Amino acid sequence: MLWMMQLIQQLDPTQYIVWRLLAALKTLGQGAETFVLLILGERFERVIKKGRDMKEQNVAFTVQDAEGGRAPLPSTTWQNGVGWVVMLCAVLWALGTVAIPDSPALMQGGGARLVPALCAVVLFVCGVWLVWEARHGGWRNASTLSGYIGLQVTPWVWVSAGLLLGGCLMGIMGFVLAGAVCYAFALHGLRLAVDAGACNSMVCWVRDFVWGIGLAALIFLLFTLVFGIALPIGGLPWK
Amino acid sequence: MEVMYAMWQGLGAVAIPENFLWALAGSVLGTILGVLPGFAPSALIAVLLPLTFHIELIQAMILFMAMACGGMYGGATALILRNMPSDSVSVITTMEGHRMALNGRAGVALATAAIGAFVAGISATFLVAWIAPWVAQIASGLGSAEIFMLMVMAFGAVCGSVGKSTLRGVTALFVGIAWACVGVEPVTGVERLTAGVSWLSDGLDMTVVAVGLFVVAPVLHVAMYEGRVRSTVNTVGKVWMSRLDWKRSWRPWLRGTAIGAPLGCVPVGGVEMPSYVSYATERYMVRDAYRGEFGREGAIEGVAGPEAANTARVTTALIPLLTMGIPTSNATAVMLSGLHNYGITPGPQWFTSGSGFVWVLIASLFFANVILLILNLPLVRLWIPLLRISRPQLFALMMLLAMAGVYGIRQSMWDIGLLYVIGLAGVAMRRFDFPVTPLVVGLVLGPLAEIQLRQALAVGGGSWMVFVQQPLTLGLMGMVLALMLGPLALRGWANRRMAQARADTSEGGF
Repeated sequence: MLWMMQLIQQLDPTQYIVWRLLAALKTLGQGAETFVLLILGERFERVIKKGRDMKEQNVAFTVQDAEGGRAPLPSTTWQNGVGWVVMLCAVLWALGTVAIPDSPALMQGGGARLVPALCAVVLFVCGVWLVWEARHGGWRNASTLSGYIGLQVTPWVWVSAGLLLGGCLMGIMGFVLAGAVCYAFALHGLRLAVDAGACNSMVCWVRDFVWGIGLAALIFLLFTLVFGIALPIGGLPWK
Repeated sequence: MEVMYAMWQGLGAVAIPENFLWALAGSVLGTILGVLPGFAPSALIAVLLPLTFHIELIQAMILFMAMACGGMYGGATALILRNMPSDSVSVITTMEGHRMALNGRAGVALATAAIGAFVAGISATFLVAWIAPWVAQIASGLGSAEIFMLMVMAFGAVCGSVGKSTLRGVTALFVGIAWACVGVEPVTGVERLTAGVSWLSDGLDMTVVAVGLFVVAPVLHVAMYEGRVRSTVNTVGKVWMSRLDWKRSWRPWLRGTAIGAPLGCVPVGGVEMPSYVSYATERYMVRDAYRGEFGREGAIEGVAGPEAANTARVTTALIPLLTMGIPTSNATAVMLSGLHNYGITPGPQWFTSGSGFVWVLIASLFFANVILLILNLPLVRLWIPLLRISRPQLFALMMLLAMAGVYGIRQSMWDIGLLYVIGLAGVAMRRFDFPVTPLVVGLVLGPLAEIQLRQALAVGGGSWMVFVQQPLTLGLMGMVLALMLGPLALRGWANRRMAQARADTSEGGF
């Protein structure tokens, strides 16, 4: 029975319930085949385990055959820090809640402070719990990250600069040129992320910038003419 | 007959060229995003949310629904041909679909996936048409306390089933609800938690948050933590199913639909649960003669079932959204946010007031599924060039789209700054394994839940006992507790049994 216990421990309870439900349904018709299902259940568990690392919140991060390994959660020190940050945010939220003017006439319905106060309390409790878990063996039931190769600062800086600089320049230069800057910077950063020896010559920069202008112009036309969403033109000739 | 008549009217309304073109545009855009690796359909819906300020409600919803369905169809193409799933729910199809492609049966895998999605999409749409009015009739008799408890149940479901830890799910949920509190309060109009910053008085815009979490965070994560990706594109071959393939596929399609449809309404076990259950079922129920194909050359049943389950789940997730305004996934949460931009909250009144609007939406699903079948079966080769776009170029383009979408809302540079901060928060959530769905659902549903809570308390004279006096609210509260505490209790039980088994084994001298 040890393998069964191991299986039960590893399965998420909701999945375990569905799995048992399937087993029960099948057993109704084919009682003798229950044993077969249990064996397949083990296979099913492997299938589920493989998929569990790719939950919906990780949708955008799905990486196949990445050169990196699989990373666990950051250390318990970091986990502890996150717990404290949650607690601190809860305290700040509570202070903000106290400052909300409340109408006594509407107190029967809880007033404007009710939900923010509830959030502050729950977040504080969650923060305490996260710290407790971090100090007692680390957070429970954590999934590992696929394709993790450690923090790469330079690509991060390039991509961030692309977005922020593009946002700052938008009002001055218009969407097309600011978008081209954003595209060229982000592309350079992302290329660095996948290949440290990425193209760094002036030709590459010019080519990316020209591509950026083309794509940004297309998006500009799509948004302004088709969708009716206004984007800044800037002080350029096409004004 | 009333349902059929209403459906007929809806079909007539969608058939007008303008609406049909929006359905076509949504299907094409959804398929493109499904094919492109790394982004879920909710990402593009989020980027296009500013559209809601400029086009009619019905057209926006037709577009978004078609995009959500298109993502499912396109996702299958990407994973079968490139072994690169666009989202977590379609990853299960990779196990058999990609193996089939490697063995020269990519065309068969694509065909069974597309036809399976079509069968499930149409069946689930009929289910929505028949069940939603019935659910709406029940929901129309509910008071504020019951509706609030239903919303809490939705919160409990996303916290307990999405992500591996209920604690981190609850934390993410309440961060979302807390963010929803920023700005002008919905009942009395009091400004709260803005720290005196004027541009926060309108609250955190859902577009900024959704684009930050679904578009900017993935791009930043790739730049910060991910390395090179190697993948090859398989050849499609002949997109044709033999008589034997049809014979092996039709049962998995129906079983997949039966599994996916209920789990779409109530997301027990997470959004990817239907495809896993379907895969496990097919693997168990497959004939002995074909059992050996699983995990080796690729079994067609392992593609047909999960794809049908996926599509059925996406379609029936509309039942709680349309009848009660409760989103149970990222895509439906973003859609609800789009409806809020029109000042509309879905609910039973959509079905009981005799308005044809909801039937147009449901009918648009039929059109979208037919268009998607054509786009993804005979025209599947159109999408293959997209699979060859390099990841850096694709991600840089998505960044550009994100910037355009967010700046287009208020023409504010601050929104771009906020977008970046939320993107970084999304990266941190990924690193520390916090689920994003509860945050998004909390942000969208939080204000509505607050209104219902305060109305219920006002009706109950300020007493919280209002939530335990009615049998229905009490029952719903029990279900919420079961959803939240059940996983913890079961895990504790399993741990104790495990420890006991270990002790027995060691005493037995093994």
